[in-house]
Amino acid sequence: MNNQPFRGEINLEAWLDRHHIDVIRTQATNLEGVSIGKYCNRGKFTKTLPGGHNVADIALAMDIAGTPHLTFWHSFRHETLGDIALRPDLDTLVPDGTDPNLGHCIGDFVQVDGSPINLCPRTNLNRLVGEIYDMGYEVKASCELEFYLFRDSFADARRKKYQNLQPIGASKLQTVYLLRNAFHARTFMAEVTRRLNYLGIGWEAWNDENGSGQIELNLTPSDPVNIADAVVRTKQIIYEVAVDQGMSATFMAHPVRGYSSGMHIHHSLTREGEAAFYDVDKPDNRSDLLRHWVGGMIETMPGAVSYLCPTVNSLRRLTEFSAPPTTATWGEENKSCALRLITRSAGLSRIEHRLGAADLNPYLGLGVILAGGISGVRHSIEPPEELAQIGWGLPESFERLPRTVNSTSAALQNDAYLKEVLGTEEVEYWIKTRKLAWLSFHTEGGDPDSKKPAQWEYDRYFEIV
Amino acid sequence: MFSFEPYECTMTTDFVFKLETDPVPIVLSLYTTLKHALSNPAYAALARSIDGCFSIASTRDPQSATITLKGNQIDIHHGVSDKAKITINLDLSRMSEEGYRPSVKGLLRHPFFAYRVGRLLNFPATSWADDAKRFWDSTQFLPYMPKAIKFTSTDKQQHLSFGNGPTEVEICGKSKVLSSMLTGSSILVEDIIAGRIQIIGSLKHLSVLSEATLKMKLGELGHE
Repeated sequence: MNNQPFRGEINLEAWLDRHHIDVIRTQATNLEGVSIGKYCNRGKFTKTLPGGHNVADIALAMDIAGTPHLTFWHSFRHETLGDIALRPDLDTLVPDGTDPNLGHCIGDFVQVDGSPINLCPRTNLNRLVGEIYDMGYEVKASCELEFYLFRDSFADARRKKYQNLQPIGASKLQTVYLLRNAFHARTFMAEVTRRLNYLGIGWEAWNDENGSGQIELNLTPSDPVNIADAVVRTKQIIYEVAVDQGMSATFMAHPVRGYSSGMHIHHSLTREGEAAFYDVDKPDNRSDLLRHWVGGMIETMPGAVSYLCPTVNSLRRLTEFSAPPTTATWGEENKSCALRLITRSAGLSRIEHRLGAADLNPYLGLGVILAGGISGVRHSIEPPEELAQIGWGLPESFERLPRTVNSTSAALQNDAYLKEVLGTEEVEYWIKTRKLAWLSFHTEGGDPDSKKPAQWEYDRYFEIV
Repeated sequence: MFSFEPYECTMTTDFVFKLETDPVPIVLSLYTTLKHALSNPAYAALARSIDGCFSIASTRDPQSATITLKGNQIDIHHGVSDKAKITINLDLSRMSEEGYRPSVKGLLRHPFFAYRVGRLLNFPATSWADDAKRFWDSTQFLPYMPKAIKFTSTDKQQHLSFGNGPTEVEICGKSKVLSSMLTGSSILVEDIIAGRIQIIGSLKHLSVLSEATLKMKLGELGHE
């Protein structure tokens, strides 16, 4: 079967003919990171180009449980309910590989007249990448996806209220890279990687992770929008393979006791093909750009928590010695810091941002990280001193990252740098979505003092994020 | 840089509220309701006569709060306290329902305290017209608010208009329901969905007015 993507071609009809595609699944991501779209007849898909087919505007303004944003709709939309459009990005059009007649295309939410909607996470990330390009740099990023895989089907998991599920693997010990555990996941991951290969999504490795039944999959570095597209597609593939094989997989950040699921995000900048974070003339190999980039990311990190750990559930991760960072710190090859720098060679030079949770929206997560870097350069922000020690268990004098919805929202509300780059109205809209979830958690069964995730969290996140 | 400061200590008449750091919705909601009720002098005198703490626990979910009154100070925290003289177990959604009787733990040991707390939680009726005026005064400057609004009490057959120019939004309901919404005890859009309140206006205005009532509920807008 021919699996060439449409990217680089001109004649869409000829490409669709060549791949025997008569249905195209469109896909876009709302603020919660949830993929939404339609299965479009080929005629409908091509007829509505370039603007794309319509969807109800409520699709972008709804929380993960389907509650419309009716208390803050006014800062987004019109006098009445209406439509917006899902404009396909034909560079993302690919054949499915499993269903011979199906193609996939990712798009952006736009107004029906084609004008952009700044709330659209993909549109906003594209804009930020453009800003960095205008500064003279190109960005590459990659993501490490962690998720839990269980032998129970989704239907069984639902019946068991997502409790006491049977993790894939040989051992319940929380050992990392255990090949005997990975062996039990090989049939599942073989199908996942086969589908990734077919869709042209680069991956480097997968392994058994710390948690029992936890798997990590590393994607190949690419342009930030491409990598965010790859993340949403990979999550969908993992979900679909789990359904097909009668299992369940979840990107819920903290579904079981012990290790939680994160999404470490690596990125690097180049200028005319040369590593821009690396300066051979500096004794520590760190360029001025890197220094300010780190300075901006550290300065904006408290506000960025809201995007990187967006749910009540993912904020549960931020505890000492549990893998995620708890302080806005950075250090060379220091995995206990929020930012791990790798500057030992030009080719490897990059930043690993270690705060992100598995349930983040990749467009927004990458966006807030890049926004921090942009702010650092724009305002020549100097980073605090490098942390050479362990970043956990530090005295109280080391300020901790906020870890409640209210405190992360307050930090973001007060972050003038992030508002400047991401847009004040967009940031404030996001904060309102977090407060809506916070209100729902507290008034629909969540116990603020319980260390255990509430049923509300399982019902809301296990199958959807 | 990002520490969350202890919530505001606000003077209402001569009362000082002290809320927990990072207050949860039930704490904010109680704060808003008490703060509003204390503008009634008789109610304020009743509050001043109570010395001690009591807890409220929802029978439908884990929401709970403890209120401590001492002189002019009112502390509100989430959770049930061991120090509470009484704990009132109730369905929060029925709190304002006439004739609703929650169960009270500690009633026999502290009958007089329980009696006073029972009266305290029976919030005084307010004038819907005063509530509407206070609501408009507190919210008219919010972005996207209608330029002119009309409220109608369907049981009292009264109309009240605020703002300038042609009416952009009309809101109708029984005076008690209107008062509840205008003081932040309920959220406009939920009242409309439940059929308690009716509206003629745009989705944009429904949204901004609902947000205003939510802000009221969470203590983000004053009643003064």
